[in-house]
Amino acid sequence: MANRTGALERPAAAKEYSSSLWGDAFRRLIRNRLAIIGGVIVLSLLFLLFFGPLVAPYPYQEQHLADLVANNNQPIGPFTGKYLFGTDDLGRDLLSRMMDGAQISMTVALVVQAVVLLIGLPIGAAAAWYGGKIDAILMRFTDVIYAFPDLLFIILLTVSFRDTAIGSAMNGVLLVFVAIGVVSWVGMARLVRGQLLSLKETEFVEAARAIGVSDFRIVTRHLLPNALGPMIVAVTLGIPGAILAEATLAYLGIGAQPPKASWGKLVVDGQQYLRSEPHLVIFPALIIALALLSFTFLGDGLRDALDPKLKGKQ
Amino acid sequence: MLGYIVRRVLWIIPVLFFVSVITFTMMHLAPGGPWAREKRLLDSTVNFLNEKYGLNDPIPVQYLKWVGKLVTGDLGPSYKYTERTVNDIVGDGIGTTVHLGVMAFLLSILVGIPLGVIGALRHNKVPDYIATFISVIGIATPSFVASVLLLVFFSVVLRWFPTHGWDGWDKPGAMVLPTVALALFPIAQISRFTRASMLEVTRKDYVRTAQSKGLKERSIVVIHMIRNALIPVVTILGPLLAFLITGSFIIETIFSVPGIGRYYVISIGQRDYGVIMAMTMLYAAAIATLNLVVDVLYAYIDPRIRYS
Repeated sequence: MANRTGALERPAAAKEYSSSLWGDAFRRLIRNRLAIIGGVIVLSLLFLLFFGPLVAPYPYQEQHLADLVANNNQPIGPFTGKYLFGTDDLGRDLLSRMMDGAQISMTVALVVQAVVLLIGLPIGAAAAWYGGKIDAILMRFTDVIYAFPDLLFIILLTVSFRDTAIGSAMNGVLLVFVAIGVVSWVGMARLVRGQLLSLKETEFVEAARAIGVSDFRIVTRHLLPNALGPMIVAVTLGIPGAILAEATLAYLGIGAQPPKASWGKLVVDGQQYLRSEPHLVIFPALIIALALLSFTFLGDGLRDALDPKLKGKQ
Repeated sequence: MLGYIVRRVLWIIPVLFFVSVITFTMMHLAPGGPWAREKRLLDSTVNFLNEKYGLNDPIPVQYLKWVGKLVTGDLGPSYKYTERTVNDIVGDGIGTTVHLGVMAFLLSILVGIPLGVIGALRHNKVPDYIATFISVIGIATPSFVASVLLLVFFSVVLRWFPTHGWDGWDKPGAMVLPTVALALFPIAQISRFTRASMLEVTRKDYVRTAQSKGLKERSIVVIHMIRNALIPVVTILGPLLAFLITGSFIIETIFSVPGIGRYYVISIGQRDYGVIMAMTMLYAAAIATLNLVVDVLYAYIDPRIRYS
C-alpha cells in the first residue's frame, strides 16, 4: 500500500495484442491480395486527381500537328516512342487525355458519394431514430425515388438543366455529379436505417439515454460510429456504379464539354477509327475497366475484412 | 398474404403519382421549350403552337389535363414527330424493347446461375477462376464498350452477324449481339450472387447432415444446396429485369434496334413532353410491378417468409 501512486501502471504489452475491430479489419484487409491491388490502383488514380497535370507527359489539349502531318494526318499508333498510347485524330496525346479524364472519374467517385452520404445519412438516421410516422413517411419517400428509372432520371436532370448556372458550372460536370448522387442515396438511407434500428436497442444507447444525452449526440457519437463499417463498404461499392453512370452519360454526349474529355467520351471519339486505330478505344476502355474493378475488389475486401461474422475464420 | 398483395398493389398508385408530379414539374421548370429550332420560329407561331397544345396554361392545370387524358389511355401528342401520337411511338417500340429485355434476362439466368454454381462447387480451383474471370469482365465492361467491341469482332472482322437491323424472329442473327451485349452485366451479377450464396449454403448444418447420411453428391447439390442458394438470388432478379428493360436504350442506339429506348434521350433534348412523361411512367410502373412480383414470389419459394 505504500507506493499506491506508482503501481497502477497499465500493462503495456497487452494493448498491442488486443483485437480492436479496426485493427483486425486492417490485418484481414492487407492479407487479401486482390483488395490490396485494387487499393493501390485506387490510390494512384486519386493521385492523378490531384497531380494529374503535373505528371502528364503533355498538356491534354495540346495538338502535335507536325507529328500528325508526318503521319499522313492519321492518329499516331501506340508505343512509337514519343507518345506511349499514341495520339487521337487531332494529334493530342492519348495518355495525357486519359490522365486528365481520371480527374473527372475520380471527382465523380468522391462527389457522388458525398452527395449520397449528405442525403442518405440524415434521412436514414431520422427514420430509424424517430420511428413511427416519420419513419413511415421517409421510407415511403425513398420508395418513390427508388421507382425512378435511375439513368433516365439522371439524363432528364442533366439535359433539362444544361443551360442554367449549375449546368455550366465546372465545365458541365457538376450537374452530372449532383444528378447521379440524387438518385443514388436510397440504398444508403436504407442501410443506415437498418443498422441504427438494431443498434438503438443496445444497452449502451439505453445507458446514454438514461444519463440524459441529447438525441443528436447519441446518434452522432454512439450510433453512427458503430454503423461505420457497413457504410464504408457501401460507399466503396457505390463508386463503380457512379463511374459507370458518368462514362455512359459521356458516351451520350452529356457532361464535360470539349476539349475536356472523360473516359466515356474518349471511347466515343475513338469509335470512328476502330478498324484502323483500335488503340483509341482499347486504352480508354481498359482504364474504365481497371477503375471499376479496383473499386469493386477494394469494396469486396473491405466487406470481408469488416464483417465480424468472419472473425477468426481466416 | 392476399391483404399484403392488395396493399402493395395499391401502394403503386401513389408512387406513380409522385413520380409523375416530380417529372412533370422538373420538365416544365427547365428552360427551353419544344419549339426551339435551329431556325427560330416567329413569336406569333410559338404562341399559336403553345395555345394549340395548351402550353400557356399554368403547370398544375396542364398536369391535370395530362392525367385526365392518361386515365382514358391517351398519352397526348408528340411535338417532335407531329404526324404521330405518343401512343403510336410507344406502341411501335415497346414490344421490341420488352423482347430484347426478356431475351437478355433469360440468357443471363441461363448462363449466370450455372457459372455461379460451378464456381462455388469447385471453389478456388480452375473452374472457379474461369467463372470469376468471366464475371469480372462483365462487371468491368460498360455496355457501350462491350457493344462496340462485339460489333467490331463479330460483325466487321468475322462477319457472323449483321451490324444493325432488327426483325424479331424473322432475322434471328440480328438479335444475337444486342442480347449478348445487354446480358453481359447481369450475367456477372447473377453469377457473383449465386456463387456467394452457394458458398454460404455449403457451411449449413443440413448440408453436413445430408453428407453424413451418405446422400449422393448430386442430390445434395441439386436438392439441398441449389434450391436454398437460389432464394436470395431471386431478390435481385426483379431489379435486374427492370434494369434490362429500362437500360437498353444505349444498346438500342448502337445496334439500331427499333425499341422505345432510343427516343428517350432525343425527346428530353427536344422537350417532347408527352414522350418524356410516357416513358418515365412506363419505366417506373415496370420497376414497381417487378419489385412487387419478386417480393410475392419470394414468399412462395421460401415458406419461412411471412408477410403480414
